[in-house]
Amino acid sequence: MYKILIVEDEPEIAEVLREFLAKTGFEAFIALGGEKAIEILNSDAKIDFIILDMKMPKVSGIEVLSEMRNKNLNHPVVILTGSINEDKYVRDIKNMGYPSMKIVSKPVDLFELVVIIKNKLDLERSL
Amino acid sequence: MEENRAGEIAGLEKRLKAAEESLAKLSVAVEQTRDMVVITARNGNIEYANPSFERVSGYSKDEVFGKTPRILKSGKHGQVFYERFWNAILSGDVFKAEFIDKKKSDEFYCVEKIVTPIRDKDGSVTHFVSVDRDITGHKEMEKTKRLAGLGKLVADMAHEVNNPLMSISGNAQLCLMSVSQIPDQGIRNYLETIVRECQRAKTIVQRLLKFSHPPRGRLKETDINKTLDIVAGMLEHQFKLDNIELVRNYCQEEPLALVDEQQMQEVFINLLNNARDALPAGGSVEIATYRQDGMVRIEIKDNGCGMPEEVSARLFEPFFTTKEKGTGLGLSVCYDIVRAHKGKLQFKSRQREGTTFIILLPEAGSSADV
Repeated sequence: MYKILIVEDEPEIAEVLREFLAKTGFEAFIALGGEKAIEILNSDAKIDFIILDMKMPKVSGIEVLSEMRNKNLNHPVVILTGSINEDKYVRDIKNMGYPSMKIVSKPVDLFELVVIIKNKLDLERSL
Repeated sequence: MEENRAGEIAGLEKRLKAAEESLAKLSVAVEQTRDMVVITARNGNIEYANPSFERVSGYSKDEVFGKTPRILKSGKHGQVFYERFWNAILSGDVFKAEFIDKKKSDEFYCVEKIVTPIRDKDGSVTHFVSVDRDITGHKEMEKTKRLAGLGKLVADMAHEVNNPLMSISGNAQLCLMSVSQIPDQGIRNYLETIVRECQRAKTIVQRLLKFSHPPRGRLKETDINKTLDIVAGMLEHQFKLDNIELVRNYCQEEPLALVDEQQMQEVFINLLNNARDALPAGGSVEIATYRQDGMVRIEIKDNGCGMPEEVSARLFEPFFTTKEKGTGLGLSVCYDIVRAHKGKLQFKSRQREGTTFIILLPEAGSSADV
């Protein structure tokens, strides 16, 4: 079963995502905020996929990505955002040397999100 | 005797000279003051207008002589407003109010007007003196500040609103999944409505956010005729289906302006769609461009129903809409985008004749460009 890490500072949203993913056949667990995500990423936890919120207090989504870059962690990621400032995120992510990354804006169609995750995981597996 | 008379005459001459000097001083003061001074007879006919009036209104003294100030009527004030005005001054009271008047060029200007009745020795009103101070610039600034303040507020709020929307929509989608096996279609419909309405709220929030995103760094020298062509090409088919003829009347020389093309396309799409909405039974929409005085002038003109005063007065107000499904944000976003390009968005509208929107953008390379 694929393990998905949900990085989101709002517990209500994190819980909805976790439950929905659990019902569609994933094992999902939550990092409430960027610092918790970095802690998990630095542990031995098995992670196949990351859903990453951008605007979080203390440690932001961009900082999580930057930490992943430094540690050479190449998990597939989908960006979740409550803002429409996508252009800025696209620029920041590109500047970090990542290829294009899927950005979805809240409120998300969860059925569509699942399709995005499945497609990305299939692609990873075929590589 | 002779000496006395000579003394009297000298005294009179002195008083006359003093009176003349005083009159000349008053006259020069009225002629040179920056305020607009107009004197009318009791019936309203203009007997005097000072140079400031000529400068602001665009009318010469001779043109207005014998006419009434009704020539300045902008149509921005209702009948009740004018009744209150006439009742006040005819009963001898001073009337003070902000007026929107119209120049000879059809442009509007805003004044703080004080009209004072002038009385003769017996106390009867013989004339009125109107002193107007031009506050157009001040009003524009106030409006700009208000919209900018609102934009900031909205941007802050929008970020916060998307999270609860996500939570509501997510929970509804979880419920949808849970009830997928039960035969009650009604419950599914309710839940689908919640999800759909959350998406609608998201669209509104996205439009709101555009308030606080002035174009930055993406300005390019653009041929406005080409941008209009792209937009017209996108909409032409729909216009045809709605029985609306789209007429392009472009200036020959390329009208170049420094713009964020995507944002400018949004402005044109909004204005063209509004023109279409004004023509439910079909008609024609003309897109015209001009180059004039260092500006690119774009006109989008429909021959539709026009707007009543109460609509045109509130046109750029956020959330104001006359459309059943409108958000009331289209024109305020347009206003904001054009303003961020150091341009102007204006309109002229006459009921049963149609509406023309005018966009003025600084020409690329002119001193006024961004």
